[in-house]
Amino acid sequence: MKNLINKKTGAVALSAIMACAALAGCGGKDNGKLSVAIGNWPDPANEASYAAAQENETNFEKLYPDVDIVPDSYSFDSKTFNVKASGNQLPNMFNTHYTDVQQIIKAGYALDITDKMTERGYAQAMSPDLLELVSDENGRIYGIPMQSGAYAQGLYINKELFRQAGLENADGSFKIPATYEELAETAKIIKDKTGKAGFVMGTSSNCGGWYFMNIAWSYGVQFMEQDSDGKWTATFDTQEMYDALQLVYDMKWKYNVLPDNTVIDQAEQLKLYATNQAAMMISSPPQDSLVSKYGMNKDNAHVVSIPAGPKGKFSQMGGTVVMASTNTTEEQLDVIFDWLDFKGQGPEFTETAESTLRSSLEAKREANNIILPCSAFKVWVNDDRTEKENALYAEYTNVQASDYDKYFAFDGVQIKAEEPVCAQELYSVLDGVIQEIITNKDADIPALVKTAANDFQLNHLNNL
Amino acid sequence: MKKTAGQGAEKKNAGKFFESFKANFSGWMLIVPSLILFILIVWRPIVIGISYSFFELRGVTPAEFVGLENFRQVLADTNFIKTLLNTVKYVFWSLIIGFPMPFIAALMLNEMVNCKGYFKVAMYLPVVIPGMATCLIWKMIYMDGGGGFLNMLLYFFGIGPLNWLSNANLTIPLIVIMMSWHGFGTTLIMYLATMQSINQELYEAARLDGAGFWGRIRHVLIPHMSGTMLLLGIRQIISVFQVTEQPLVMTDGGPNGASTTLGLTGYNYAFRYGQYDKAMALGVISFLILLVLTFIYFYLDKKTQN
Repeated sequence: MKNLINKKTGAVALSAIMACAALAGCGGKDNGKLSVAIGNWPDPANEASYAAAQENETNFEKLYPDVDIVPDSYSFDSKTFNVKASGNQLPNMFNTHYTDVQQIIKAGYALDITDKMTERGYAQAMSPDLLELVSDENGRIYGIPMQSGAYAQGLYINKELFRQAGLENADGSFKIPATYEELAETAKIIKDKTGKAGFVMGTSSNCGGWYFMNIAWSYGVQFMEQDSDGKWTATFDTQEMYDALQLVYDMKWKYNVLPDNTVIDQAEQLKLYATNQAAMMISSPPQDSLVSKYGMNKDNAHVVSIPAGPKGKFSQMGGTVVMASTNTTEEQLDVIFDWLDFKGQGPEFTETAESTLRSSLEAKREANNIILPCSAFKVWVNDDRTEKENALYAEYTNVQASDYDKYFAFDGVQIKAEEPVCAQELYSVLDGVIQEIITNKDADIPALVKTAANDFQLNHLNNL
Repeated sequence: MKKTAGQGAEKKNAGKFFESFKANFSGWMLIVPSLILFILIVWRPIVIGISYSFFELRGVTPAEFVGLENFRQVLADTNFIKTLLNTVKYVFWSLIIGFPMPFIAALMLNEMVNCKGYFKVAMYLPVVIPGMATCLIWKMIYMDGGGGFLNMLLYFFGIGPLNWLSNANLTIPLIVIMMSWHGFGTTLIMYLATMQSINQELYEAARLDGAGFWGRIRHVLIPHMSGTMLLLGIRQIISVFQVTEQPLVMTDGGPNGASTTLGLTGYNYAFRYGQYDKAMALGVISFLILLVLTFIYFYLDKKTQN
């Protein structure tokens, strides 16, 4: 009996010790240092990027010996974000997209960093238009737009299919469509000559609506407006919208240049383009998965300016925004800004920043990710700073600059942010319209648009 | 203070409970882990989900009590009726396509003399394929254009290519065929077990009375199977009513919402639009509908057992 009691006591003691050990583990490697969790840390499977990040961590901790950087692999995903945020499980610094910033601010999951942005000189050095996108209605700033990852959408050309269709000029350049009408006609030539889809556009998972915005804006569509009482009204039941959708209709039923498969999300769109099943698509460079996932030769991709509609050229912008979780202290927030400065994401492009960016670009090149010769648009108002960074990108670029020249020229292109409210809901409504148009030859476009505008007003805008 | 009769009875009951608890201490200890898990995993989310549906949520944290506002918004959604009808269509087609299939297969297996084991395993195999993989396989089968497997098959007969999942009238029946293929193995085994439990003497007696194959099915098999069929039918309705991942993967609810269900709408509210409050309200509405079906199930189950 005594033996049994001893065994029981031993087991309880052992459990207690294990529990204490586990709890101690939860605390992280404090050692009297200030721990700051940095999200979006590369996966160890991505060896080159992971090694570069680890090296950054070591070098940063040498510069700031009282700080302990805690790598956190959490990468933003709208499906998991809210649950993670409500459980206080977000890293101190996390990445998100422009599309989700307002929802995160509204949910109260990001820290107001206005004062720190001003104190550290970020607010003064940053493009006011971009700052507006990461601020609430009272002008309080919650996010930091990143120069790396900033993109605007362009037209991707598959060189191989263009060559097969005889659309290569004598000097090696390609016959690029300048307008959407020309795009449809070029796509028809490709379809006739190669049998492959001339153009692919997303139709599902909100991707149809998202890509369609570029076309709609260029036809002069205004999707919504706000009155003086703050009430939003859907305003897209117009002739411009009918004309923009008529283009999509014609691509299916007049020119027959779209893929047979009608349920296309972003991954499927990239796959069809990368595997020479479609000759053109609207997308935002760089798209690493074309090479890493679908084995495309990156020299086969050629990105040019987005085509023009009757009202000009419009390109939707996007990119990465950094935010701080609400449990971040003032000291931790300072470290986040130190970290961004160190990584070359701050207003000053210091030698340290240059060196860190250099090693990060080397890692990207090693991982065979696409490095473009410069960024799509400027986050910083200071041109010198952008030029210095772009010079570094130009040094490490692993694509032919001529393949992106026309895209980066942004000749006559108006770069436009997403619609201000209910953008995802709008894409979902437009997905439905696009799906109906490309699956039903008898689709009545004005009637579909009327229903869509009504649905969007009643189901979404009225509930704001 | 004078004790009332009620207080005395309560104390007596509590005493009885503690006596019983002490007497069955080991038994209670054995069920405690399951009970805790049951409360945490089953009851807690249900209670939280119902209570949150009356709040405006910021992210997934309640911010303000809004009464029935979330329910109003969900029910006033111009697509709600269409989505509810779509869900009912799934149930309807599953009863037409998926309900008789396992019964007929079980009947064939039951009558088989050779290779019974092989066919039993072969018919059960789809059940062990993960649901997501099944959706992707069938998506390739149904793919529009010359690249789809079904269209390749039709090509040999000089037909097509036809549109499958992009045909709004065919989408739901096609998804139901895939669901039936994937799930019918389990139902088949249950039918088969019930068929095999029927006393063989009844068949012999029926045969002596001059009953043929159909006669034996009508007078022996069906009366014995009706209870199980009813229960499995109700279970199928409950399970198909919750269909979400199949349309999500295969059509994303399209074309133009033709295959969207209540479950998929709830998924979109929560994970596409971040409107968890509306997702909870829609969940409660689906829960109430299913609760009625579940009561019917238990009522029939009890009746069948009696």
